[in-house]
Amino acid sequence: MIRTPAPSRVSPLLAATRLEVRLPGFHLGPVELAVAAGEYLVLVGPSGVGKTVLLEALLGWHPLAAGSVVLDGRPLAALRPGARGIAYVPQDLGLLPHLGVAENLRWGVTCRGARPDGPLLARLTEVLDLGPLVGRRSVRTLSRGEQQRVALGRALLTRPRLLLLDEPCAALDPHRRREFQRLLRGLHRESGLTAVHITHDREEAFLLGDRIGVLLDGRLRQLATPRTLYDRPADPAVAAFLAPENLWEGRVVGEVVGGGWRVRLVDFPLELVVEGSSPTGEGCLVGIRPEEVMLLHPNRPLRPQVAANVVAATVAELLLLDGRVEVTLVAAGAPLLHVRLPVCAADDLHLAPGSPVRASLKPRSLFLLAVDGVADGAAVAAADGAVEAAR
Amino acid sequence: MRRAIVPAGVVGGRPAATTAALLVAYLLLLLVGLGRLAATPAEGSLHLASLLAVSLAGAACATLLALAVGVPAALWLARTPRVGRRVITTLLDLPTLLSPVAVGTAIVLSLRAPPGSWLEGGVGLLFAFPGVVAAQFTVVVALVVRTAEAAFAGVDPRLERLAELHGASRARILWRVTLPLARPGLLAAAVLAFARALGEFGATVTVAGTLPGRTETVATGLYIALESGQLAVAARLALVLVAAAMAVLLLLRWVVGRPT
Repeated sequence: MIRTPAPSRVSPLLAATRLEVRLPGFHLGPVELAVAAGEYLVLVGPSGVGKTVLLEALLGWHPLAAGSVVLDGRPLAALRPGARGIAYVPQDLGLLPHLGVAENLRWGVTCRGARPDGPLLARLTEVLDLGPLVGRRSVRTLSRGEQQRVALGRALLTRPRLLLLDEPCAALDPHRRREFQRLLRGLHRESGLTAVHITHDREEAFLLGDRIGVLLDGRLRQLATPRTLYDRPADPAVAAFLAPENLWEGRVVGEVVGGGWRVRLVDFPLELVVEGSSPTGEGCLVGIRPEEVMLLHPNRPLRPQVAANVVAATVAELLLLDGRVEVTLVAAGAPLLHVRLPVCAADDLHLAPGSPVRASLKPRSLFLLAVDGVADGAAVAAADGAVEAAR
Repeated sequence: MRRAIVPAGVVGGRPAATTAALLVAYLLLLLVGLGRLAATPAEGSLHLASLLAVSLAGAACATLLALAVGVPAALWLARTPRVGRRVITTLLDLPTLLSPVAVGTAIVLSLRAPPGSWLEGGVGLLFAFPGVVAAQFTVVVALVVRTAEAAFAGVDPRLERLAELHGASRARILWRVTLPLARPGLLAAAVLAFARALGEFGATVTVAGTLPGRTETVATGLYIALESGQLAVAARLALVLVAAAMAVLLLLRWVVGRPT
């Protein structure tokens, strides 16, 4: 385990129970969600799945069609908005264009007629590097990254018990984005900031989340630690979102002595050994992340730990991306596998289009998902789409 | 924020430029005609000061009244679901689209029976200064509502919600968030209403008539002068209205073009 386990969920700071929101042409939920004090929860999903609606429903900004939101044991509706101790940084930041930087920074505090906490203001000014900005008379002349820091500073200056962030890094250019992600991670680690953060960026979710919730089609499909999400996507739709590259339809044909299952792929003459929990039916999806595929050196003997699922294939395409190589392998005349590996590893193997390779799919790297048992047609359709795309 | 750099379009070359030039020439021709006529000696006395006083006072009162009623109405409209809004806005647009004389006639007739007769008994609108204000208010109020509504619709409700989340009272949200953000649109509404009221003729003359010094405005005075053959006086009054309109346009450009 790379990550420490999630904080205890005994008494959540914020809990949503069977939360449903109905808007014209859109339905969210039912969603079950609990955020523990000190936890950094990331909700990830493609655009248009209702991430912002969910976040704003937690704020009480959308009427609930069903369910409830409870903050610290009390129904959200029973608390005045100003008494909830929640701060929110919307995607467009919500800065006031007619006020200067310093006024915007203090706005969260001056709203309730209070004065900013001096030491906290000084610390935030330092951490968020706001010193050069506070003299500016308009927030509109700031760069997006600067505006982002002012908006975050405004939210943190109110000493929120819970911070909600909507795509805080989406509008930043890539190197600024990583910088800002590290800043958020640092704030969480150092000051125990409790946050619900929504993003479409899977990498951002893994970087920041103590736990990650995958939101697809208005439903929270899986809520787990990053490691669990990486190893064991809960259903075909989650797999199709997180690891769409290598997903195959298969049939369970037997059990392996010592744990695991024999799965025969439907579209390839291949049988794989897969570790993991028992599938509920015969039909299943098998998948593996491109990073988990091992390409074997042609002249070296097979080590026992990679001997289980060795596949012979041919390199069809080799893409040099910035920092890594993506290889598409074909077998039986069809694209079978997508592999991601470091540039030096590709060089060592003398990979070129047309060259034969052997790939090893470790049984514990493969994940196995039941298809028959999934009631929701959309999930299967989404997974089918991903399988189509992978072909 | 920087303006995007875009290439020039393809259509709209010489023919469009010629049409625009002709239009400008036509408008200039009208102005020159007025100017030449105004330069000839006046046929009679020109009590411009009293005309201007009634005009400015009437337009100012009508504008303030229209803002007092129209801005809250606009705020409500901007936050109302579309279905209810359509009925109300149609009704609101009626005075703007109707001939001002018809609006004036409606006001006069409404004063004959309660509750209009109470107003007439209490304030006295017919052939009196309050009648000038009432006529101009009726013509102008929809303009204020529509312009202000657009201004309020441009204010992101999230900004109000965020202030609420931070513990701001409703009054503070209104004064510190909503009104400042809608300010350019509200100022534009005021300026447009004032200009429209200043030039209003049909409704004003129908309700309040043209009593010199009491209900006669520059616009109604202009008509009287024209009727009695005082062409130079009429031309001078027309130029006064032109100057006022110019001032309003410049003011509007300055108000709206300025960053908030």
